[in-house]
Amino acid sequence: MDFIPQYLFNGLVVGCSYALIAVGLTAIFGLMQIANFAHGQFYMLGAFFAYWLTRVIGLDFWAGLVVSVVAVMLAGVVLERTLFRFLRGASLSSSVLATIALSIFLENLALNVWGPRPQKILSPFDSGGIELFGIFTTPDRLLMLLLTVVVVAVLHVGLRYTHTGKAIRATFQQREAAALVGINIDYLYTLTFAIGAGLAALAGVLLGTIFVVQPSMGGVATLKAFIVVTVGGTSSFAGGIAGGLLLGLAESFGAIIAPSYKDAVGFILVILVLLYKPDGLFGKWS
Amino acid sequence: MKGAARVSSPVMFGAVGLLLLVLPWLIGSGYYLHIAITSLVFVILATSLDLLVGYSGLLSLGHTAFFAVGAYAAALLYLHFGMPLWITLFVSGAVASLIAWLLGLLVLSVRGHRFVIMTVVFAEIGRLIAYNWTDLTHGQVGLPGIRPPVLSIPGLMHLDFASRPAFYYLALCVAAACVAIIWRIAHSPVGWRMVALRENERLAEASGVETQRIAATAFVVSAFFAGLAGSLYAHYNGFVSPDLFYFSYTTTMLIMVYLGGKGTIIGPVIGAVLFTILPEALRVTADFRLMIFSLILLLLVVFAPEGLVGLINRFTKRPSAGEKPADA
Amino acid sequence: MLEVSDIGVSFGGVHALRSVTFTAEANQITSVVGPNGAGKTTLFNVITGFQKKGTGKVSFAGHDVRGLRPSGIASAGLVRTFQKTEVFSGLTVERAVEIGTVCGRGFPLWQTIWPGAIQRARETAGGETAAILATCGIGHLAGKYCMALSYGEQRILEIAVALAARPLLLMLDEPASGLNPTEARVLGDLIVRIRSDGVGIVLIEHNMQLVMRISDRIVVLHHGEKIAEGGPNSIASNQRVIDAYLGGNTLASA
Repeated sequence: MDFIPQYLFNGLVVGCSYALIAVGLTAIFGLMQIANFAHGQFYMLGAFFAYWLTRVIGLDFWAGLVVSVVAVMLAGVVLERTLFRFLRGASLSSSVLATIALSIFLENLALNVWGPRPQKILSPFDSGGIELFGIFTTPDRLLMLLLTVVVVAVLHVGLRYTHTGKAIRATFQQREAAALVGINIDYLYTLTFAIGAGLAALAGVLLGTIFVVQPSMGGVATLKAFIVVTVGGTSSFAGGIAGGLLLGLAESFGAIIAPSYKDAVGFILVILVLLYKPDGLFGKWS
Repeated sequence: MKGAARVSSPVMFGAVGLLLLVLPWLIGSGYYLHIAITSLVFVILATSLDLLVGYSGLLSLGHTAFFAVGAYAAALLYLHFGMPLWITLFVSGAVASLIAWLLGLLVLSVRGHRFVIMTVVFAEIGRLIAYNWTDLTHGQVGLPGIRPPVLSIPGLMHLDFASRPAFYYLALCVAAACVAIIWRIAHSPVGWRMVALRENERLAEASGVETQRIAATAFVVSAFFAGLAGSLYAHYNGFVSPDLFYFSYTTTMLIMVYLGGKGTIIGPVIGAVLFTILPEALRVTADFRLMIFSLILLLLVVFAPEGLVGLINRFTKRPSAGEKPADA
Repeated sequence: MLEVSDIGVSFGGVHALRSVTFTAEANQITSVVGPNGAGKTTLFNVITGFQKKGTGKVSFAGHDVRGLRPSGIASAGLVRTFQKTEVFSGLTVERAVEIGTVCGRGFPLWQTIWPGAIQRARETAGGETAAILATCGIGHLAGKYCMALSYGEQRILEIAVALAARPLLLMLDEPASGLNPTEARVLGDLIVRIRSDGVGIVLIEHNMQLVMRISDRIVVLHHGEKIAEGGPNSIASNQRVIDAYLGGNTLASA
């Protein structure tokens, strides 16, 4: 019985990474109506940059974290200004296929640059395991939880109280009206895209200390992100966060029943949601 | 359709047909013929996918699952019951169709990105099952030892299709038959209804198209041929594994469809052939290959969504009234 | 031909339609008019199967069609167009109409194997298409892409595609909306031509000039209820109708 809190905790940790990635995808999908099948690659790139900076270049962890996230955000800006601008009005098929192509490109780029072997990002913490209230964990996992909470709080405050945040929310709800009112859509799109990419990269760096880093992780992350966004609702940031945590928890408990079918939990979840609540569990904008 | 006529005029047909018939003489029976046979399998896969993606506008990203299911079905039927290719071709197709029909009941009730996600998810579920149901599938290890058929009429002939040139002609006949049937379907009123579904589902419904039924038809028919291709592959390759469920196979099929030109049947045929041959011709390692081809797909989707066939049409047609839609 | 009895629909407590009853005959143009929000399009949606909710009976050519899918109703001969223009965007005009001719027509999958069946179907479709394009006066647009047509041309195209489904009764939802007087006149002539070919027409329209000119009968809806039914002259002088349109001059002087 005291396994339950452990599973809960583990599920939350993974769920946090899902939430971070999914929030970025929600922003891109909801704001720009582009199904970005390359989103998971930001996660992968963040992890690989951090690995390269810390293990190969020798930067310390925190500097590596910041530089990685910023680098991926810059990459996001470049991609948004070039490719994604083209895809703005495009049909679903076009954006799906173009982003899939981009995803394959980035994955193979990583494969060629860093090789297929799984790598690990060294933790900045010396101590190994910690025990908290009977739950076994590591400082890296706690860091993931902490940073996710911080990020969500910052996002919430930012969206609600800053000028830019309000502009984003307005554009989310009514694009044409927002443009008419004088909001600079282009700038907003680029900013949102960059933030989304940065969040995914952050998740990559943090998770790279807990699990491994390999080129194929991007594709998996994309699928998970889409599952979360579909389950949580494509137009809701809160839905993305809640959905991510839900998925993490569901997978964690699913692993008790059938470890090798752990991923299937998410699959079944998304199928059920699509059939019975197509707008997602949290449906409309929040 | 005028464009298709330009690309496949009788003379060209004849020339290509002749080339295909004498191919083993031209390129030998080694690696190059192996590539040719592989491309024939993909020809069936790409044209079947075109019915869904090109004609019906249903972006199904789980197509390889039907291929894999067909391959496994053939493998199991051969290994447990000794069924030869002649039978497994159809049984594999039927099994894949059945699964498609059942899947369709769920998946075809949604459209757009939801449909896309569902298809990807189901393919992944398929992979998980193939990987983990080790009693049936031997999991990761896969199922080896599936032989090509032997045609033996006592006193008349003994033809072992394990010989590569023999299998090549077998595959050629099967592929040609499949393409011909798919072509007929696409250019019949059934195919037209699929196009109506693609162009405007609401209007199609209001014009009398049973949209759910035609979508299911497209799904089931394309799955049949994908499963059939799986059987062909299994008997040729001799080995099936859960890898066949990997998304990379679907991506390959998609590239073939878009490269050649979706919604044309002949386009995916060209795309399949080109995309199997080109990587060999380029002789770079597999990883660079994928980078180059994903870039090509990207450029195609953005700048030439009608693919090669469309590009050829564009340059050989007289300027016609009205603009062509920019984004297929 | 079309008998609509006691149709009622409510959305969240608001009665969009209440006890609407009317009939429409073949060889007649019946117009459904009324101020905005009177429930006209909702009525169309209920009749043609696009709106599943609601009570009442709809009988077409003697058959009860409530509960059928829109495609089934269309195949039975009751074809509609939409308020917001719907076209087969990526196709040429000719192709769009051609496809329209086979949409509801039988041609099951197995028939693709039959030698010659496809060829015959194509030839039939081609002939019908040419006739329809000629009737609608858009033969000169055959090779243009539907997307590239002007708004007015697209409205005519919609009717052409609807005709391709070989309707017994055609239901047009505001076909003249957004058209200039010349285009509206051309449209009106087309509708009259269609009637003389034996097809019944039911028409939702706001263009009163058009309605008065071509209608055989008019049904007036207001707040989801039928408040009048009759020939153009009787409607024009009906006090309830005049009141509903807020101030009266609208109909008589249109």
